[in-house]
Amino acid sequence: MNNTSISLEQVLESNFGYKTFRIGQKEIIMDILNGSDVLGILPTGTGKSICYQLPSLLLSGITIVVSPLISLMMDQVKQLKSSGFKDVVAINSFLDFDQKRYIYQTLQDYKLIFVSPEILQQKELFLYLKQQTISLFVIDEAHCISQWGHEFRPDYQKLNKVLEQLGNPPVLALSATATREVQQDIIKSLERPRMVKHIYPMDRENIMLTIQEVEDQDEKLEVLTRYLSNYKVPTLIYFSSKVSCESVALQLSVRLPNQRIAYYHGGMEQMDRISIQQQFMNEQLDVICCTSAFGMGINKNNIRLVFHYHFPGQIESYIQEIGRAGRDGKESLSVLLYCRRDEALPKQLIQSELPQDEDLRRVFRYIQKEADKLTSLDISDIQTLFEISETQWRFILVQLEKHSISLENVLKYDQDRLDRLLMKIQQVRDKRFKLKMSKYHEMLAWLKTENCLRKELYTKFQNDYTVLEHQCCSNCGIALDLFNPEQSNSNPRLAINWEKRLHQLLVGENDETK
Amino acid sequence: MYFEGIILDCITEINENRSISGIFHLLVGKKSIQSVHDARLFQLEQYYGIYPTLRRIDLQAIVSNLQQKKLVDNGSKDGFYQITEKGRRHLIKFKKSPLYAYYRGLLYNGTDVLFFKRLHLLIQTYSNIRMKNTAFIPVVDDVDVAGWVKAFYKKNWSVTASLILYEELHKLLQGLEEKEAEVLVNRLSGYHHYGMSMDQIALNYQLPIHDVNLLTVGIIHQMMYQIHRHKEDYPVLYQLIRENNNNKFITKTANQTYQLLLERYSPETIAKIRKLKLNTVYDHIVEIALYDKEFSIEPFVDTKTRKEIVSVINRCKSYKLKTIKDNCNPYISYFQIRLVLTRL
Repeated sequence: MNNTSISLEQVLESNFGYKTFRIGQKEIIMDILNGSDVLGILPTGTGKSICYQLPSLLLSGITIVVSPLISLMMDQVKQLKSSGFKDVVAINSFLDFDQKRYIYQTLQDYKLIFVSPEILQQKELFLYLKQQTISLFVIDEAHCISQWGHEFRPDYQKLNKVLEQLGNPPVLALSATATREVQQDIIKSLERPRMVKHIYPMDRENIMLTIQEVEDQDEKLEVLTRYLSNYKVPTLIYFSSKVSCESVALQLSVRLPNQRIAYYHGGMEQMDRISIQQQFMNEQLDVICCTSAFGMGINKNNIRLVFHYHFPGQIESYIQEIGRAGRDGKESLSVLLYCRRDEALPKQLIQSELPQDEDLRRVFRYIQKEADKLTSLDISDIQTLFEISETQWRFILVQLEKHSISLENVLKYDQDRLDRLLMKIQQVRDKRFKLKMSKYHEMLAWLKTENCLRKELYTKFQNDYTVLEHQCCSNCGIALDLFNPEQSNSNPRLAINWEKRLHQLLVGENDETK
Repeated sequence: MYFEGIILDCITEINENRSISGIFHLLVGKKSIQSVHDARLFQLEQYYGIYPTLRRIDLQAIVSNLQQKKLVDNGSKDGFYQITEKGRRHLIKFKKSPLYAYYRGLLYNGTDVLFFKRLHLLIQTYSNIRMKNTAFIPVVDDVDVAGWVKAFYKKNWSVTASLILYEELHKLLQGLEEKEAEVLVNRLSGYHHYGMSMDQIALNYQLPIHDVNLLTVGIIHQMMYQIHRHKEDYPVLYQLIRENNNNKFITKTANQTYQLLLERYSPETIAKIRKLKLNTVYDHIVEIALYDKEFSIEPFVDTKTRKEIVSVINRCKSYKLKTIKDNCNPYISYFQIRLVLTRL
């Protein structure tokens, strides 16, 4: 044992340049090397990736990492390659046919292979993977497995089948935010009841938690304006509606000409979303007004301020959203603007996320009536036809699939069976609604607590948390005048002549970053 | 301003022959025979499919606003509108803007989006590779486009490649209004620089978001048109429009039927192979005929039959299927009439 630990540290230093392991890393790595299945819950910014990067060097076969976002994957591969880790590749839809085939035929040359959950559903890759020895199967952002989580991805639920077909290699599931419930879900969905759990504290000592009660929306704007005239630092402002996200962004832009402000939400076209996100990463923007659609995969470590213009519908979302602040470990501030009148919002939101009875019945009637033509229909057509929201539609699809009904073979089902199915789906929906409402009440209770906010927040997830003497939370009292983050000194966006810009992009020396 | 102008133009041409739904389908480019037909019939081809992301409620809101401003009047039925005198004056103003002449909707529908995406990703790629940066987050998240840009890059690589691209673009954009060129270029991304989103453009130029959408499409159409007209001046950019997948135009299922037709199967056999109703296959064939001008309808309608149908249309002055059918020789089918209509 002693020998292993000495050499593990040597491996760490010679390959990654760190002298010591950070909390949890070594324990997880040792269990992996012993061949156990491991569930690791580590707070963001604590080096989750070392937990599989290091074992991949020591294990004889291939380590597969499932990651939900292509940008995350590409970032990691780029970082690894630049640090000298060459046997790494990301397989995603950006590769062209030839590249893909080349990689597939040389899989054995890689130690670490990043894949998207979608691409694992493709037969071709699968055939090649099956011929390899898979020593470790890593599931990053594992909370995406859970339907109760806030970032549910249907393809993650198919990973158990993937594992089975790959001959059940050892599994490492990693996440930064998973309640006990979500942890159970992960273990259940992966069918690994004997997973070793390593749960580490998720409380972030460098983020001050504050709740500020306001009378109305105007006062929220006042507060934001005040803060943002004092601090010019990378800032996120979370909203629960697209409309207010846009309008507040515009109002703030008028009030704060010195800040570069933009908004981001799921209703924007994809190219615009990528642009805004990357502008922020690239320090072309200071403030982003956004919905919860923003953030996953954002690897920006100097976000200093996170506001909540509306409070989120569940504590998990809140923890994840404030967790985007201060990843570099420097002092950061979270401000939740609580307005009594906002209390009805989350309930409406939860309702709008789930299909109503009428929606379900309409879809079922349609499926039945049009069954013989359905092959000719793009599935999303049904969604637009009935103007069902994307979340509602995804819910319906997942439920249909779960009861192994695909739209193609629905013809084979008689009326009776469809009726029973409809009822089942309604039951699931009602259950989900109840659960989400209870989460909402949990959030509400936290907002109103007079105890330490950190204590009340984190003890729901873990037995312990770090008690802070200073700059803890608004209930314990903080001194804002001591919060002095480094200010950015960028100039407000200057309109630039198109000829100059085009020249800059394709011909001239680049001076954008200066 | 632009959006209002376009709607006014549509209402003027369509008058009370179609409801606002007809305008909606025209602008989003609904892939139905009726919509393409309407575009031709009312000579609004230029607007077909120029606003695919338009939502019905947004169109309704703008029309209601036009009504409040007394630019249009309620028609005889709900959902039908007429232009007013004030509206006409407004429309004349819009028709004077250069943008008005740019739209070529029916011609470039579908391919315009492809051109736009290729252009953006190509410029981002060249701009980065020029600075020896091969790892960047692509602004266009589209597998086909990414594959195309890669292939293009491999084929066209040279030290001066980005310079040539620059020169061609510069020349092309000089033919546009200053503001138009700026809107296009400000959205471009490159090395250590990410372009503006549509919302940012809207804010920066104080334009409604609809107008940014429509302005962009107009600019793209004009660029494509100029490249087509002067291929020899734009050897690099011409490749962005030359190699495109025309089949994107028709629905997937119609395309499958198309492939079988190319293998010389009869509609009856295709129906059997694909386990579809014969009428569904007929629908596909009409769809194909509508979008593919080269597609010959001769195997389904002989010359004599076609002439008869055309003469009935002229005599009855109607495009209504029922009317035409009732006045034709009974052996002529609806399918044949619809096919002939696609060739008018």
